[in-house]
This record gives sequence, structure tokens and C-alpha cells, in this order.
Amino acid sequence: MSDAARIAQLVVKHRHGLLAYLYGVIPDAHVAEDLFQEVCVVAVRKAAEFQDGTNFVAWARSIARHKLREQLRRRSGISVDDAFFEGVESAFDAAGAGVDPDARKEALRGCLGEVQDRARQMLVWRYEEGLSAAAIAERMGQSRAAVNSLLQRVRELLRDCVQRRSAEARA
Amino acid sequence: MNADEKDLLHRHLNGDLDASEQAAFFARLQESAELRRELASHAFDESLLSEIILEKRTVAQPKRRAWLPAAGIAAAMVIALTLVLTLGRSHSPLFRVARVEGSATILHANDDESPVQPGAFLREGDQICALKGVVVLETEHASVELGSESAVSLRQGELVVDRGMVGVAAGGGAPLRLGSTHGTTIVHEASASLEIRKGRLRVEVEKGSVDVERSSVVRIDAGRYALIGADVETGRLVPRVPLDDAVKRACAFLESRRNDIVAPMVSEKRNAPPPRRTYAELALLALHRGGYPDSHPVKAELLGLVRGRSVESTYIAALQAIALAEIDPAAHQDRIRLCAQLLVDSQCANGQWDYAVKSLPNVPATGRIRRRQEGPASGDNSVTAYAVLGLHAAARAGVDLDPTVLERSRAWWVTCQNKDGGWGYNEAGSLGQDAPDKSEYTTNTSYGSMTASAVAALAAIRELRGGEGDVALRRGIEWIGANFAADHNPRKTPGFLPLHWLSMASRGGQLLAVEHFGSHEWYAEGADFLLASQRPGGEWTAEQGEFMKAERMDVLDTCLAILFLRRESR
Repeated sequence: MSDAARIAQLVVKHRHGLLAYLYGVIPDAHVAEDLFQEVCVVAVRKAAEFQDGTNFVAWARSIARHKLREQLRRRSGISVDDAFFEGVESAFDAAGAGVDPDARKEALRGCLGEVQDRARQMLVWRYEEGLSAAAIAERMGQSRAAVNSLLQRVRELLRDCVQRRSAEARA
Repeated sequence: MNADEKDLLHRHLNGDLDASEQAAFFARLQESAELRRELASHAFDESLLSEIILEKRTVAQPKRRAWLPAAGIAAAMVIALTLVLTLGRSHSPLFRVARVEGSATILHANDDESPVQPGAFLREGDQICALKGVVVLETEHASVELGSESAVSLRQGELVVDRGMVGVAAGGGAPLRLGSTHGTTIVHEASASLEIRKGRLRVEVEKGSVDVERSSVVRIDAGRYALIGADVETGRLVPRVPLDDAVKRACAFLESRRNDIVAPMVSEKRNAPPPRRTYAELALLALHRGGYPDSHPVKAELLGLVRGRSVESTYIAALQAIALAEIDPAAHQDRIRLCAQLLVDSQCANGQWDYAVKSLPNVPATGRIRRRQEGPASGDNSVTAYAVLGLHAAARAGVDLDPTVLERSRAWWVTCQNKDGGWGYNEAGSLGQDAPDKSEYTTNTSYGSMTASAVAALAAIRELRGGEGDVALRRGIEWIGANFAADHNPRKTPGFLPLHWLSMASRGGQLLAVEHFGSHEWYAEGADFLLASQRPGGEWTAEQGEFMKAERMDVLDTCLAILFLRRESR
């Protein structure tokens, strides 16, 4: 198999982990997805540089770091050092360990049914249109603080729901 | 993790932090492992949630960008890449929409449809359809241009030509592969056009050379084409620049002879009273093929004249149906139906047509065109071929015809075929025209223009009525193959109807979808002859001698030459 084919397979395998990492640093679904695509392109182009047996996720994240740095500088003039990325990356390693992304996605899909319509509409605006809490607040005629707290509650509710369901499934 | 940190974390995830709050959050993040874990845990769910919500998106909902969700694109790209690469190929390009002119849509694998936007990337399973206009796709090394009414799709990382015509230019880098049901075309440092037409793939190569992979590889060099279907036909292309120039000059000549195009003349001798004719239909079609828009003053005048005139001649009824059906079959449906009714009502008892058409009032606005009266007892094969081609054009434009009209005509053609497989002006024995030495006049012995007329008519009837194993047609095609010459009407003197012969051979070749008659490439050889014999004023005067002396030959020949050079694309 060619280098590029091997990398392409690895990118597919680790897609969720890489996307989550990008989203964690820049929580805008569209930007994260754009960055992921750019990382894919660079990874395939540099396929020959990847050494078999080394950590692919770490290698791909090193490409992602460049993209994130550029983006952070452009969006908010922030610059971060490697120590920052190393800390964040090890947290993602821990959070991703043992998680089956497809199963978790299905669990989340089921739990979305438990979310009230109004809250679900907020999620749509947040993810689909990339609206910030302030923009959602304006659209809903509510205060920013109320939207922030509602989004936080939904986030926690969904996580509890997924945990509860997987506990039930195990029982 | 304290309450402040938690608040910052969630506001970060809500996109609510300004630049300084963002910097503060990152600083806290660097200090607190617990905060990092919490971020990672939520980010995992958030990215999955965003995917779920973006999957549910429908076309009706607002979109921030035309090419969302990018995760889907990336995933599809990577999956496609994997598929393609694991099949042993070295490269699968990303296709980006570089330019859109006119209207075009993109149909996604999930059946969503949206307009094509510049900047969008093609996803696995997408189909781009250029409706009226042009779409240009680009990869790192190549560009792909979709013409009107063409469609391509991305399947397993490979661009597939589904229909219509696609221009391709590829530079260095990896070769561009274009799939089709007829094989995969590989373009590397070359430019070419691909067209799916009549169940075959036509590849024309302008620069470099191109391979088409099927059961075996077909190599096509610059200046050549290949037609690939059940079998493969290859040949020489006519260079585009001199061709375009010749057509442009010919159209300018026609414009300069407007008066001779619109003024009626009387030249037919049988079945008085003689019908009035003009070249308006022929010139209209010639200017249309020359690329003139309907708004051009001369074309607009001819269109008005054609639509407004009373039709008294078989030639005019046939040519009017042919021209209007090609220009706009829907807009001119009324006139096309009128012409079809006139032709059907004028068919001779023996299946031929004669010069005059007799009109009955009240052409039904809808429904099948049926015969309401019988024409004269007999006519001639030359005008009969035009009548059949006119009916064929009307049928293609959607007019429903009484099938017995075409069957009767087919029976006539079969009856009057000569023993050598060719056709003459009439059935052998009739009208005292059997003398084979009369090479400057019509005869009942076989000659090129009549055989080509019969072949075109039989091919048109076969297209409408079916019937594959047509022995008469096959023998006619063999006659043309054995006798073909571009510079004169076979078995006749050079000045006798040379361009009428070429135009009928062209019509036959197109209806049969063949590029060769025998060993002859009819189009390339005919175009060579026409490009060499065009007069400095842009006109042709190939017709010589007595037979056509009542005609305005330069105008007529120039119309026929344009129709040959700019052959119909169907």
C-alpha cells in the first residue's frame, strides 16, 4: 500500500479524536471541520514523512498545532506555546481512551430526544449556523447569561443521559 | 475546578469569550489538569453532537456556507482517497468548483439538491449538472469544464462523465482519470474533450495524447478523435481555427446577400401552379449553426419571415420543420405541427412526395397528426428524402405522427433500390431517365446524392420506427462506402450537386452515428474539400452547369456548406 493510502486509512480511523481536539481549542463546528480538512490534506501530502510504528495521532496533532496556532492568532491575537498543546493533548488522550465514538454518537442521538424543543433549537443555531451565545440570545430575546446557562445545562444533561443509558445497557 | 473556571469553560464552548477572556481561559487551562479533562470530555461530545445536527440539515434551512458539512466532505474525501489508493492508484484529486456561469445544480448522495457555488468541493456521491451554462472544476493540476446539459459525478474518488460534453486540460502531476460507462479516460499533460452521445463516448484530443482504458487501451493522439461504444472508431479532427474562420466568413457572406435570401423565386416545373420558394429556412438554419443568437437582426428577420409565410412547397415544409425543431422545438411547436400536417397530407399514393403541398384548414393543436387526404400519384426521390427528414425533425420535436406514413415511405425506398444497392432519382424505368451516361442530370441509375438521400431517409425512419436488420439500408451504406468522394457527387460530373451530395451524406452519417463510410472519414474529407474551395468572399460556388441554373447558387451552396461544417450535435 502506498504511503498516502496508509495515511488516509489512519485519518479515517482517528477522525473523531482529531475533530474533538480541534473543536476543544476552537469551539466552532465549521472552523473545526475546515481545519480538519486542511490537516487531512497536509497529512496525505506529507505521508512519506510518517514512520510506521510511531504514534499517528501525535503526528497528525503536530500538523493540527500549526493550523490551530494560525487560527488563534487570526481570530483573537492569542499565541500559545507547545506546553499548552501538550497539556491539552494528554487530556484528550485520556478522555478518548476506551470511547467508541460511533456508539457514543448513537447514544447522544437518542438522548437528544430528551432535550426540550427550545433547547434543541439553540443547539441547531449553535452548531449549524455557528452562532455565539450572544447571537442566540439576541435571536431568542433573552439575556446572554440565560443562554449560557441553558447551553451549559443541556451539555450536562446530555452527558448524564449518555452515562445513564450506557450504565443501563451494561446492567 | 472552581466555579469561575467552570463558567469560563462553558462560555468557551458556547463561543462567548472575547479575546482577553479566551487568553485567560487558556492560562487557566494550562494550570488545571481537571479543567483540561473536563474540556476534552465535553469537546468529544460537542463534536459528535454537531455532526448529528449537521446530518439532519435539509436544503430549506439556512446555510452558512454552500459546502457544509465540512466534516462530511473531509470524511468522504478521505474515504474516497482510501478506496482509490488501496486500489493501487497513486493519486485522487480534490475537485473544487472554480467558476459557474448560468445555472447549475449539485445533487448530493443523500438526494439533497442545491445550486453550485464557486469554492465548493465535490463530495463522494455528488453529481454536478450544468443546465444552461458552464461549470469549471479545478484540481491542483487540471481543470474540467462542463458544457450545457452535461453532468459529472464523483464516485469512489473518480470523476465520472454521466452525460453531455466535458472539456479537460491537465498539466503535470498525477494523470487525471475520468470515468464513463465506456471506459476510463486518462489525461496527462494534454487537453481533450469528452462527450457522451448516442450511447458512445467521443474523445477529441487537442493537445498531447490521451488513453482510454477499457478491455484494451485506446491511445488517441493530438488532432484525432475516438468514438468508443461496442466498437471503436477513430479518425482525424478538422482543426478548429480555420473551421471557425470559414464559418464566420460564410455567415457574413449570407448576411450580405439578405435580399437574395428573402426574395421569392419560381423554379420548379412540375404540378403547376409553381410554389414560391425562398432560401429563408436554409439560411436561418445556417446562421443558427453559425452561432447567431435569435436576437441578431438578420436571424430575427428570417425567423419572422419563416413563421409568417404560407407554406406551399414540400421543400419549404420540410426545411421549416428541420430549422424550427433545431432552434426551439417548444417555442415553434405550432409551426412544426403545421409543417408535419402539410407533409402528411401531401404524401403520394406510392409513398413518395412531390414538390407542392396542399393545405387543408384546421391543423389540430394537439394529438396525432393523421393523413386527411392523398397527394399526387408519384413524385421524386430527392424531394421525398427531404419530406422524410422534415417529418423526422417534427417527431423529434415531440409531434406524434401517423406511423403508416413512415412505413409507406420505407416500403417505397425498398421498392426502388437499384440492384447495385444505390438509388437514383426515381424507380428504374420511370420518366425515361435510365440513361447512365447522363452524368450531368438526374438519372434513375444510382448516384451519390440520391443514395445518400435514401440512406438518410431510411436511417431517420429506423430511428423513429425501429427495425435493426434493415438490409436495404445496409446495402446503401456499402454503396456509399465503395463510391465515396468528397469533391464531387459520386457517378456524376463534378459540377452536379456536389454540396447537396455532401449535405445528404452528412445527414446520413449523423443519423447512423458513423464517422466512416467504408474507409472514408466523411466529415474530415468533406471539410478539407470545403475549406479548400471557399471563395475569398466567404461563399462557395461548387455547382456548375445547366441543371440548377435557375437557383442563386452561391447563396444555396454557402448555406449547405455551413450546415456541413457545423454539423448538428445530435
